[in-house]
Amino acid sequence: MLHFMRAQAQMLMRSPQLFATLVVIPFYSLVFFHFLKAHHQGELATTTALTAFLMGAWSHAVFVASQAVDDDRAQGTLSLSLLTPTRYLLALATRTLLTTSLALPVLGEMFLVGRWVFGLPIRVERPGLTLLVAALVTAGVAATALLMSGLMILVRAARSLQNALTYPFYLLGGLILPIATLPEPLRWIARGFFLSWGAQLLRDAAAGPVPELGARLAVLCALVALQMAAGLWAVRRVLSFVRSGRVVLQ
Amino acid sequence: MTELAPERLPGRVPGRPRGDLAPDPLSGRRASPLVRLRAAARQVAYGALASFQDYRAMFTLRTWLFGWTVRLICQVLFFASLGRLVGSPSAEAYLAFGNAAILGPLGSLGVVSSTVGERVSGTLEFLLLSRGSTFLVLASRGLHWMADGLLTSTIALCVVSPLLGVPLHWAALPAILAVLCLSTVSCYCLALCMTSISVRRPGSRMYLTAGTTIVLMLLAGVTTAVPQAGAAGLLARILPLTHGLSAARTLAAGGPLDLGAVAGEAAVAAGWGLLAWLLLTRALRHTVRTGSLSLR
Repeated sequence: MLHFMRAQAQMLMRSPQLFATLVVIPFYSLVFFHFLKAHHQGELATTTALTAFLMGAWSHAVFVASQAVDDDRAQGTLSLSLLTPTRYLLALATRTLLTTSLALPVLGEMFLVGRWVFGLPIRVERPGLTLLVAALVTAGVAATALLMSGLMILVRAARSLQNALTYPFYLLGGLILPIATLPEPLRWIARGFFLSWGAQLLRDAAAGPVPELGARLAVLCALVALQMAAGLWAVRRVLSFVRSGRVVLQ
Repeated sequence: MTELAPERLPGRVPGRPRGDLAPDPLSGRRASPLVRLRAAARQVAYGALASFQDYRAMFTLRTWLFGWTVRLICQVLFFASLGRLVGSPSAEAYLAFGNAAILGPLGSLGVVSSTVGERVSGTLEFLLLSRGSTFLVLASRGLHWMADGLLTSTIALCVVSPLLGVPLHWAALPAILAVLCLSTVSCYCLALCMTSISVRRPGSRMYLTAGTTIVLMLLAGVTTAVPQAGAAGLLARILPLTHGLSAARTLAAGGPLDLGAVAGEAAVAAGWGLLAWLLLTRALRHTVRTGSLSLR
């Protein structure tokens, strides 16, 4: 696994444009902070900083991490990788997880921008728990990137769908407002979505004591594990289609 | 070796059909203004036709409606929810209208990336073989971005307004759309200016579009009121959308058409258009002269 990580790290270092999403998306925090400052609502800065972090992590997964398999296909290395005895699925999952984890520093970046550039009172009462939840959410987001990877091989128009997979999920994940504000049918879907649990836990962890922490953490872990299982299953299934010739790579 | 402008390159033989925009290389004569205008219109029409073919290849009706349009409506709802977060229904309505109106200008920024796409796929070389204006060729190739932006902006405005209770005088909708159309053209001109950078440095396209998006959201009156003082106020006045959005907001509130704001938006569009013509023509000539046109 270590050599998969090393290989992906080398590829990332040689393609700095892959970090563009991480640089660009947090700029939306400027809009959030500017708006809060104009409305004299600085105490909500922590919430919007977390929103910007989650937006950055999600879009980094959807636009960059899920691209690894498509790049392999475009460069012709995917078909060769499928011929090797090493499990390509394990390599892809490790690479996707590593790429997505690069979104974690955005959390600190958001706090610094809010505090130093806008002078807003950003406070994190439970930093350890906040980091743990952020890491769990990042794992869930990496699993989403794996699901997308399967889609990238299967559907040629998946690239144009990437753009569609952002804001609807930000609303469903309750990134700004809690999911209780969503209409009833959507609220039910959001309750089974790891991002909504992660976003709410992050906000609560930053605010102070978290009610029902154990149970909520367990639900988040279970949903992330489910998402990961679904992602791995989807890629495995698509790769078996490729091996049997049911999906043509080129 | 002497550098040659594209229209002076050897190989341009006489016997050119009537309506060429560039002067004849042998006689140096130009066609009459009317003929040139007709030729330019034909060139833009063909460019637009080609751009819409590209657009059709990008989406099916289903992916456009349930993927792209739903995403943009969600984008408007997402930013509008900031207003609810601070507990201000008026801020929510302000954000909803601003974020629906900005979709047209933001859509037009697509040309910054699609022109790079032409360079990557090797089609830019063929476009520059046009005997007419290279600027018109490239400008017309991205018209679908404007059309898409305007259409999605209209849909978002019509869907989100009743949903969030945004005050909107429906009788003023045609006038609002006309003003937003002008703002979209204005932003398209700014986008063409940035294309002059992205066509030479393809890696910059994402930063250019994202940077412009943020600047427009911060200064053009989309998120908060337009800044009046200092450098921010000055920048806001020369940005596309600022004047148009102000006029559209007045119309939506049942007010009269603010002709001063419309004239301001038209002046901004003309300014950015002129600059785009200068910069883009220069950038394309540079890529031709340095032999760096194809990225394949």
